[in-house]
Amino acid sequence: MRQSESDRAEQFQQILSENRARFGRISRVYGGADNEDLVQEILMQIWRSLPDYQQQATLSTWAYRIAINTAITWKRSSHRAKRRPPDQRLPPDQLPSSQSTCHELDLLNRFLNALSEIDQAVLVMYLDDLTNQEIAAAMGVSHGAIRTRISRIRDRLKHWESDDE
Amino acid sequence: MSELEHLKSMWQSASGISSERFSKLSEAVQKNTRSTQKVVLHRDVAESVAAFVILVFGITGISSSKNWLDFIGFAVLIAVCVEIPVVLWLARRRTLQDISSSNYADFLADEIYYLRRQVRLLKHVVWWYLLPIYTSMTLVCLGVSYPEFSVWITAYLGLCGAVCIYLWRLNQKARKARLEPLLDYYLKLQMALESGENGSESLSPPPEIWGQSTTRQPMTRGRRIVFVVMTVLLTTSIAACGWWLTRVFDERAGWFVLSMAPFVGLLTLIATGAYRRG
Repeated sequence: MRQSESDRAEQFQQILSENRARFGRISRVYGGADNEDLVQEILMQIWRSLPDYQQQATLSTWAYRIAINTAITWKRSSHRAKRRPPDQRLPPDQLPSSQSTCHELDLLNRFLNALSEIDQAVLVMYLDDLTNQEIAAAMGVSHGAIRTRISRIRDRLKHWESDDE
Repeated sequence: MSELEHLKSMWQSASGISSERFSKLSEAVQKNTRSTQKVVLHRDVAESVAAFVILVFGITGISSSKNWLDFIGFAVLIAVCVEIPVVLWLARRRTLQDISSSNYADFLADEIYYLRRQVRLLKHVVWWYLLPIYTSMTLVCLGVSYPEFSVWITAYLGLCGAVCIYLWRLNQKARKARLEPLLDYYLKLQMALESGENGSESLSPPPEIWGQSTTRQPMTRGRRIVFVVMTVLLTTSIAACGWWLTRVFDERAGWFVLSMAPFVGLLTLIATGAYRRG
């Protein structure tokens, strides 16, 4: 059954209040310097898709999946990448106060950008605290495959750290 | 940098975007949804009007044709006006309709399907685009000037043929340099996803695909010459069309089209950037 316009607006507000930080981080990784455009695109996709929400997953997980799909599609669209190179640093007003944390976040952003599209998506979802099952559903692979992939990313991170130092 | 668990908590402490900015963006979304619908509507109307104008031009041509050559030429032109948008529309179509219920594997499959169609389209551009347009142009030109075939008509058609060959080469270059490596990259990603391979270093997209070079490449001399020739051809074609209209249709309409020719030429020069120095 199709929802009313007020239900839709209410659900939209709920998604926004629960996922603001998550969408911001996704857009930073995938959108680079164009992150605000990407946030807007994500919100637009969610708004358009809301009438089709069928409560098979929680509203937040459902919206997160749309955000990741939109972000990947956005990055694939090469004309956007042509405009501005990805800015891997976080803007100063959105960084944590500690300087070492800033440095680590910069490193993490660089690491994320060095990963393949699949690993990048898996790691972003993992960092955003999605369960392996939720990640597997979003990626369209088995639960075990995600576990293996995360363990490989962990190994790669260790090597990357030592290379970086 | 430390373990993933530590990174997770650190990652979650960064917001990525300020709350005020986020609120403004979310407010803009609901307004933009309406304006996007308007833009789509305007685009559809513009495309329909353009198709209608060409169709009217073609039908006028057919009804005033003096011989079978220009009759067939105009008929082919009308067919081309229908065929090209249909081919492009079919190629643009996505299999994935619902973004919310799709997973990454579906996305990848859709992207591969889409790219395969694009590659096929560029590979056969001569059959569905260049040849029909060139054939219709040639037949109309020959039909209108029949029974005299001046050296100017021959030169004009020769130049148009040269431009067609250049466009064909450009399309093949784009297919080989951009689309095929991109298709190859997504096929590898799909294999990595299905087999659970690492998919790291070996799966970085080719740099030219993501357009990592942001500096504007200077235009080569050859390309500038081709753009100038294209502009001259376009201007001449519109002027010739105007002249033809003054004779067979309506003198005022013909003069209007004729007077538009230099403006269109100027706009083409600006759009292609051919006026710039290297």
